[in-house]
Amino acid sequence: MKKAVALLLAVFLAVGLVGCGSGKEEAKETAAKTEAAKETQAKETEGDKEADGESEVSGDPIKIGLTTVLTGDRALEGQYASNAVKIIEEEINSAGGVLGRPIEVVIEDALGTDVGAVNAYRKLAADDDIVAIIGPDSSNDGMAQAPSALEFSILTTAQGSSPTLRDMCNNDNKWLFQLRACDETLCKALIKYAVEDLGLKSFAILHDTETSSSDQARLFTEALADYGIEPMVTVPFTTGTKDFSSQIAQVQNSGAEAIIGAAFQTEAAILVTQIRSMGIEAPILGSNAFADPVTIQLAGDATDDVYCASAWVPNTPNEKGNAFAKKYQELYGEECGKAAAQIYDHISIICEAIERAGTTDRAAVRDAMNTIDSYPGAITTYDCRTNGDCGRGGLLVRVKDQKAEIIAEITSEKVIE
Amino acid sequence: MKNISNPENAVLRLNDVCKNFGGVVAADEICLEMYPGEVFGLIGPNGAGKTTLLNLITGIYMPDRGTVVLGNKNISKQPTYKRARAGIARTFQHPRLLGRCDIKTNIYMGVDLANKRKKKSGQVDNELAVLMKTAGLETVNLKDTVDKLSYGQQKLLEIIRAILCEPSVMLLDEPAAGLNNRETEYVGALIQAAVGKNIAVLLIEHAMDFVMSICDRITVLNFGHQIMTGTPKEVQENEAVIKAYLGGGNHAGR
Amino acid sequence: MNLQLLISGMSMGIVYGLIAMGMVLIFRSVGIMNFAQGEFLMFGGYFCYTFNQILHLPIVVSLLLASLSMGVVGVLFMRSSYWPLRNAQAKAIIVSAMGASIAFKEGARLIWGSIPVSMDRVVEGTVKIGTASVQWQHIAIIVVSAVIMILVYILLEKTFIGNMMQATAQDQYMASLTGIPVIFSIGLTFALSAMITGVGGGLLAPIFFLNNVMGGTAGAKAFAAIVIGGFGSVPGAIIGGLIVGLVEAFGGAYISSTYQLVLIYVVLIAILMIRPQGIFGEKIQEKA
Repeated sequence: MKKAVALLLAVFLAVGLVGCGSGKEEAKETAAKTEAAKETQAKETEGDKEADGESEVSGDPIKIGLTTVLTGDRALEGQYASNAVKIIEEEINSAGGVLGRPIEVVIEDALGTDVGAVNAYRKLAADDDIVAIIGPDSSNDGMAQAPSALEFSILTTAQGSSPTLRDMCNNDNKWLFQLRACDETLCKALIKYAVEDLGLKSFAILHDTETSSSDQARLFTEALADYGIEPMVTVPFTTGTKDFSSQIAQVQNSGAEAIIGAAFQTEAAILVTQIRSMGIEAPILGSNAFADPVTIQLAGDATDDVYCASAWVPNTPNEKGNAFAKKYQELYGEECGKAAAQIYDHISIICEAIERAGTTDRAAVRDAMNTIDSYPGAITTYDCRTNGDCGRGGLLVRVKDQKAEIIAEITSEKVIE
Repeated sequence: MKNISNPENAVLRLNDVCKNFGGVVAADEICLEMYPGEVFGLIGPNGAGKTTLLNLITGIYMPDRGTVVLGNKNISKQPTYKRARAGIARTFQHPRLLGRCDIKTNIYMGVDLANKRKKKSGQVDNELAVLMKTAGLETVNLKDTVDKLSYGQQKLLEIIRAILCEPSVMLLDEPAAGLNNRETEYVGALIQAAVGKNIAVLLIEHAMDFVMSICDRITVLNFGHQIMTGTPKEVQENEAVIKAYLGGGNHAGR
Repeated sequence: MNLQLLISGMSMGIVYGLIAMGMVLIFRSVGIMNFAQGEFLMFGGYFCYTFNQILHLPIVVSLLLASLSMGVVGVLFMRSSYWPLRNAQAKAIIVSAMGASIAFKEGARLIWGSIPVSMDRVVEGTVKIGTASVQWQHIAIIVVSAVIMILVYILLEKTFIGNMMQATAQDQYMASLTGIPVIFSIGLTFALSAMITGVGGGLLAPIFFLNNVMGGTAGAKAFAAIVIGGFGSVPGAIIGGLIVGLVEAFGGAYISSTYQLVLIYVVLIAILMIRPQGIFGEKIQEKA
C-alpha cells in the first residue's frame, strides 16, 4: 500500500510538472531548463564538467562560489541568479574559459538570513578550489560574511548596495568588494527628480523592515532633508505582509502628495495594486524592485507612472546589458530583474581578475581586482581601484504600459582615496 | 431448547479461538456455537477474558489461532465495520451513543448502514415505537439529544438500536450494570423481543439471578479458559464453576 | 477608511476562518492539530493558478477543479502522514505533519518555481461605497467563503455522509460497530478540509500573489483563530478567523503595522485569560 501511495505521489508530481508546462511551449522548455539548471548547480559538483564544455577549454575547472537565496520569501533572487549563472558560464567557457580552463560556479543556499549566508559562505570557503565567492543580494547578510572573508582570505564580491557596506569595503576589509552603485546615489537621484522635476513637496514613506529596505528608507529621508523636507509619515511593514490596507490608510491620513516605497518584488506589486485600487492617484517612487519585471507582471497596469531608481532594467541603453537581457528572455521565456544582471557582472569581473592575476592564488586574484578601472559590465562600468562602490551607474526609470522607460542615467563620481 | 440439535444451523461459531497478549493467555481454545433466537450467557470473574472474547467477535482483535465463523463465512480476518454489516451488533457497558446528536439520528445511523437502506423508514418507525414501549421509553421525545436521557435509558436505547439493525448476533456487554430492578426487567423484555426476531443474543453479565433466569445456555470463563458450557442448572451445580466463581459470595446481583 | 479596513479585514478573516475550519474538521476527526494546513492554502492556490493561467480555464472552473484536486491531496496526505501513525503518540503525528508541510513547500517550489505568481480575479475592478474604494474581489471572497461554509454545514448536519463523518469523529470504535468504514470516513474528512482550505488559496491569490512559503503565517493565524474561537468548534473557527482578520486590519492601521502578528497573539492571550476555553469552546469529549 505504501508503495502504491509513493507511486501515486510520484505520478502526481510528474503530472504537475507536465501540467504546468502544457499549453505553453516556452514555459515547458523553461520548466525543464530551470529544473535541469537547478539540479546541476544546486549540488556540489566536484570535478563535474559542464555538459557544454567546449574542446577549447581543458583542465580542471576554476571554481567560483555563489551564496544566494534559493528558498524562502526572497527565493526569486536565487532563481534569477541560477539562470544567469547558466548564461555566463556558457559564454565564458565557449570563449576559451579563464586561463584556458573552464569555470564552474558552485551555488549554496543563503536561506535569506544572515546565519544562512554565513554558513553557506563558510562551506564554500573551506573548499580550497574555490577562488572567489559572491555574496547574496542583501547588504545585511553580505556584511555578516565579512569576518569570514578576512578569516579565509578569499576575494568576496558583495551584491548589496548599502552605504554601510561601502564603508566596510573601503576601510575595514580588503577582501570585500562592493560591485554596485551605492544606494545613497540612487536614492538621492530619485528624490532630486521628484522634487526638482516633478515638483513634489510632501512624501510618505512605506518600507519593509528588512535591513536593505530600512536603509533605503533612511537614505530617502536623508535625501529629502537636503531639501528641507521631512516625510509626513514613515510606515514599516514586515516581508510577507499580504494586505496593506492599514498601512495605506496611514499614508492617506498623512495627506502626503507622493508615496515612496522600499520593498521587494511581491510586496511592491501588492502595494502598488492596492494603492491604485483604493483610488489613490499619488505618484509612487520606488526602490529597485518596483521596476522589476516580476513586479510589473504581477501588478500589471497598476505600475503605470511608477518612478524608480534602479541599478538596471532590461531595456537599458547599456549594450552588454541589453544583449544579456535578450539572451535571458530567449532562454527562459521571460524578462529578468537586476539580480540576474548582477550575477552576470560579478562572475565576469571575477574572471577578469583571475585572468589579470594569471593564477588562481586567492591573494593574487584579490590584488588584481584593484587594477580594474573601467570594466564594461551589463549594468554599468566598474572601477575597482577602491573596494567600495565599484559600480557607479544606475538608471532613473518610469514604468509605462508595463515597460520600464529610461528617463535618465545616474552616475556618481567616485572618490579615490 | 431451540434448534440446537443441528450444529449446522449455528449462526455464530468460534472454533478453538486463541489470543495471547505477550505471554498472557486471554483466550485459550474457545469453542462455542450460537443459534438463532438463543440467549447465550458468558460469565466469569473479572479478567477472565469475556471482553476479549467480545472483541474477537467484533473484530478489534484478530485471533492468533482458530476461526470465527458467521453463518457460513469465515470472518476471522475481517475488519470491524464489515462484520457489523454482515450482522454483528454490540452494546457497551457504558453507553456510547453520540451525545451531541438527537435520538432519531443515533437510531437511524446504525439502521441505515446495517440494512444498507433497504428498509423503508416508515417500517423502522413502527418497529422503533414498539420497542420503545417494550423498554418503557414511550414518553421520550425522539428529537431530544441523547445526553438528556438517564444512564439506564441510554443503555436501553443502545439495545433498541442494535435490535433494529436486525443483526444475526447481538452482543450485550453487562446491559444490567448500573440499572435498577425495573430497568433490568426492561432489559429482559428487550432480549425477549430480540429472541422473537430470531436474533442470537450473547449476554455478558454479573447479575446471576438475571443470567440464570434468561439464558438458554451459559459458558463459564476463567483466566481465558472455558471451564464448562451448559444449561443454567448444569452450570449452577458444577463443582469447578462453583469453586472458581459462584461459591464464596462472588455473585453479586447488581 | 474604516469601511475599507472593515471589508478587507473581513475578507482576510473569513479566509482565515476557512483554514481554521479545515483544521477543526481534522482535529475533531483524529484529535491532532494539522500543522500543514497552511500549505493546503498555498497548494490550492497554485492548482488554481495552473488551471487558470496555464490551461486558460475560466476562474470559476479553475476554483472548482483546484478544490477537487485538493480533495485528492487531502486523502494522499491522510494516507501517508496520518494513517501509518494513527496509533502512535500525538507528538509523532504532529511531527509527521510538519514534515509534510516541508514537503509541500519544496514540492511547490520544484513544480512552480520561486517567482511569485498571480491569476484572474473572480470579479475585476473596484466599487465605490461612500468614500471608500473596495475591490470587488474582497466582496467575492466574503460571498464565496460564506457559501462554502453554509454548504459544509449542510453536509455535516443534514446529510448521511456528514453524520457518518461526525460519528467517526466522536467515537471511532462505535462508528465502526455501526458499519462505518473508519478509514473511508477519515479520508473524506481530510479531503473536505483540504478542499475548503484550497479554495481560499485560489481566492486570495489574485490579491496577494502566490509564493511557496505563504502557508506559514496563514497557518499560524488560523491556529490563533481556533484558539480564540474555541478548540474543536466549527462556528468558533469562523468567528475566530473574523476576529483575527479584523484585529489585523484595524490594529495594523491604528496601533502598529509592523507588529500585526504580535497584536493578534496579544488579543489571543487576553481572550484566553478571560475565557480559557475560547469563545465557543467546549470540553473535549472523553473517549470511553
